[in-house]
Amino acid sequence: MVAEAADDDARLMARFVATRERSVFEGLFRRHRDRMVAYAGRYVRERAKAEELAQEIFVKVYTTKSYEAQGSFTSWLYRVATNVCLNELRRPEHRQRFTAYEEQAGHTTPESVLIERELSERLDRALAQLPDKQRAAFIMARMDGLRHDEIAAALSTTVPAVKSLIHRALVSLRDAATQASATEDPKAPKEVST
Amino acid sequence: MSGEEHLGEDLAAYVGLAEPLAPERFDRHTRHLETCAECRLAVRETQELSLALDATPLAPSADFDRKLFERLDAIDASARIESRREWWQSLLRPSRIALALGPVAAGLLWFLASRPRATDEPLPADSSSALAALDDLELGANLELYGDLDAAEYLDVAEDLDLLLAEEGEAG
Ligand SMILES: [Zn+2]
Repeated sequence: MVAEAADDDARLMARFVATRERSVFEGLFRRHRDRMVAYAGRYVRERAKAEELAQEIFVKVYTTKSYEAQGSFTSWLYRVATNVCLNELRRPEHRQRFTAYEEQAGHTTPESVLIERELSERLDRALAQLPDKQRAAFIMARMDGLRHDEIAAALSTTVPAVKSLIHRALVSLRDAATQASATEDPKAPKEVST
Repeated sequence: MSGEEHLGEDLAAYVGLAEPLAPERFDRHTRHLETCAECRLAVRETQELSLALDATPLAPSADFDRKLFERLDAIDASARIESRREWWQSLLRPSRIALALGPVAAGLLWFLASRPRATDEPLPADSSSALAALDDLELGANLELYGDLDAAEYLDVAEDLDLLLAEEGEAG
């Protein structure tokens, strides 16, 4: 892959690594905080855990000793983030990752919402069972709107490989969704754990 | 690509689940859909999937920033301690010690030379500032503190000093 010109944030990151100016870091942090929290939240649905992961991502950024200013900072950040999130999911104690956000708890929930949530949880489960790169590529494309070349850089792969990863993820998720709608009895929605 | 080609890996992009397609490519797929039931079904199912996936992104809580910056402050503080430790380590390198101990040794020699001749007698520890400085070095404690310092080299310096003192005692 040809070395790309550094984008603005990549240059700022290089400056931060060289000078350790907290204000430079803070600028990067504020621009990317929300998407990192959301990204971690796609891997672990529990708010406290997702925020812990997001903190870990920024601690990694903060303690980076060497950084080459080239290409997209976002891609680099997502590479860091994906490593942090996947490492977390590999921990054996990580088995209850399908609890819904606490914001959803305690609300009165009409049946249609419960069915919807049932499907959404099935999809979460299917997403969690995808191979690491498929899941990461799909989340970055679908949830975070990254371009294929940014995803390719984040996952150290090529654009055609990214398209294929996303497509395979989509096929698996579609299977999960159609199976869900085929087996579901809308009269008896399952209890939703919160 | 002909108009007859299925959407294939462009499906995700066609329904807005991935980077948008070039307009002419998008239009070509749209024309293809008019004639292909298989791709129409795939598009419909994928659109439904896309809606079901539309969970609101998790937003950071109010104390997220504060917690992070507390962690970063702690990291900075421990980095300062570490750099101080490294500074001390560099100070305790044998070459530096030899330099630093030069005046101490000279002081000791002067002290010994000006004393009545009694070389077997142990030196009283609090009898001079030079000796107090030597005591402060506390070899054992320092070696423990500065764990990765090369202990053998450090001890060599101390032995040389002993030897020097002994020789001076005999000669004097
Ligand atoms: Zn077709």
